[in-house]
Amino acid sequence: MISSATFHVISTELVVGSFAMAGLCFLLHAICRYELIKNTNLVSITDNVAHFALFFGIIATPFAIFSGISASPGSGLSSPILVNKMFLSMTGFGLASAALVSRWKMGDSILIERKTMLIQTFSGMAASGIMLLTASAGGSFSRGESLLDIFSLPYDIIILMPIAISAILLITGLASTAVALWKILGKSAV
Amino acid sequence: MFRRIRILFVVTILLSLSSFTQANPGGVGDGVFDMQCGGACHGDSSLNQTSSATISLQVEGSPYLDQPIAISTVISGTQLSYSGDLGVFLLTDTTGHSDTPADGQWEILSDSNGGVNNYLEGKLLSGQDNFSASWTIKPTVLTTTTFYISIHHGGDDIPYFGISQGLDIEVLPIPDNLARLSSDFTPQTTRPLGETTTVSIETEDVLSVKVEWKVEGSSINTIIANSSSEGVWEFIAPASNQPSSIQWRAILEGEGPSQTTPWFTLVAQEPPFEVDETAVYIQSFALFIFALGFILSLQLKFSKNKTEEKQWEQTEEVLQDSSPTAPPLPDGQLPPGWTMEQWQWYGHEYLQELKEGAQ
Repeated sequence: MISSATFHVISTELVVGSFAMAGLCFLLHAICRYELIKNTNLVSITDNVAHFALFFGIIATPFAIFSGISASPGSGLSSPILVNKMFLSMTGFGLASAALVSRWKMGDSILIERKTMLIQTFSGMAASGIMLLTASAGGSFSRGESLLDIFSLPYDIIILMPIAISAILLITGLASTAVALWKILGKSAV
Repeated sequence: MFRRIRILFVVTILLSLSSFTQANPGGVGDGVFDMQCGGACHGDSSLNQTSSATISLQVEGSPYLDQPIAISTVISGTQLSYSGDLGVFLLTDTTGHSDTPADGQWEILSDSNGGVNNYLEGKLLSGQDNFSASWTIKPTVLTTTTFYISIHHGGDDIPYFGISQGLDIEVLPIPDNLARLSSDFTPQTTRPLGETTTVSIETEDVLSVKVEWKVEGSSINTIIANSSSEGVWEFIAPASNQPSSIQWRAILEGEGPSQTTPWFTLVAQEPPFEVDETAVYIQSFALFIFALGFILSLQLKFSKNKTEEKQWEQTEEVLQDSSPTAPPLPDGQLPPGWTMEQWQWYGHEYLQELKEGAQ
């Protein structure tokens, strides 16, 4: 049996590696689509690699989050950095899931049309960036330093909304997700 | 499809839950716990092995009813150095449940970590071979209680458990005119950094109070406490600019027997970070689901527009229908009197007639 701390290190390394790969491939894909790099093979390769890496990262993310809560000293949220990590990782998880579901259920047509391609690239790269930011916050918490310290990011400031606002956001999100999935899966009664 | 998603979801939840139910080698923080941790350090007590650590237990002060005494412990042993992290319990029996001092009708006034907990966590620093902890407690009923110190620690991927010999303490009634602390006196245990602290001592049958205080590892300082009102005495503890603790005790003198209180601990520390965990978890999940719904809705909106545009966009089909492919020109040029547009539409009929005429 391994400890939560070791399991957290393993799962976060998987998450960070996968998301970094996905983010790079989304960027390359957008560049190819804008024909800054003219390579038709690269379009297909970056599409596949980006979404497979994203899928792998999504699988590993819940393990990283829950093992992180278990491994943290004291109660799960004993520092503002840990609260920010929670917010960042869950937001990144949502963006990545959206990118993957879109690509999975709507096909490669979303990467051909410019607007949908930009949304897909944005969600994929934003998810990757947020996950890397989460990892940086983890480094600041456990070792007191991180590569992104050059930006002096305010990890010790948390923006905690009142529960009522969070509940509204949650209900709005649930409703829009349910409607979107219903339509995407083609089960609309209309 | 949905079946596979359901299976994946259930497996993910089960695997995630396992991390909540296993051991917590990083500790759970100080708290009031029974011997079996209440789910704290070691998830399954059947996996524990016996620690080789030596646990000594000492009592300071006379155990009068409603008067504080100090219980201190020193834990030593080479096995401790494997882990470094150590959890120490003050218990009133060894059954594993209902064994906190409160269950034995004792009140914890302070602990050496600056709280009022029976379970303390600490770390054995490199080079140290022992760990100390102490509690200031007072009995609330006349009784005899057996105290134990229990420890939990790790090492070689094995959870270790140890428990001391019992120490019986019989609570005595208060002698007449005993110079003593007030029965509702509760010592201050924490204070902010960088500020001098006025410490109040409520007493009964006391005419003068002398206070001794010390920082760990230094000599004892003595000051005379001033009376601020009847039965209330005050002294000023110097400011501390770094997280640290001082210990103090009062020597109470009156018309009856004098008494020295046990050492109380006053910890200077930054205010602990506190957050409403429910609000954090709800906001986290709200951010996740909102990001998911927002991106999906955007994708759906723009994809749908494209589909509708395609549905009504018939130009290509009309153009294909309206411009048939021109047949090959006879001898490479248009027949006399024909235009190219006429040839495109009716050229194949001309060629058909030409073919029939030749036959």
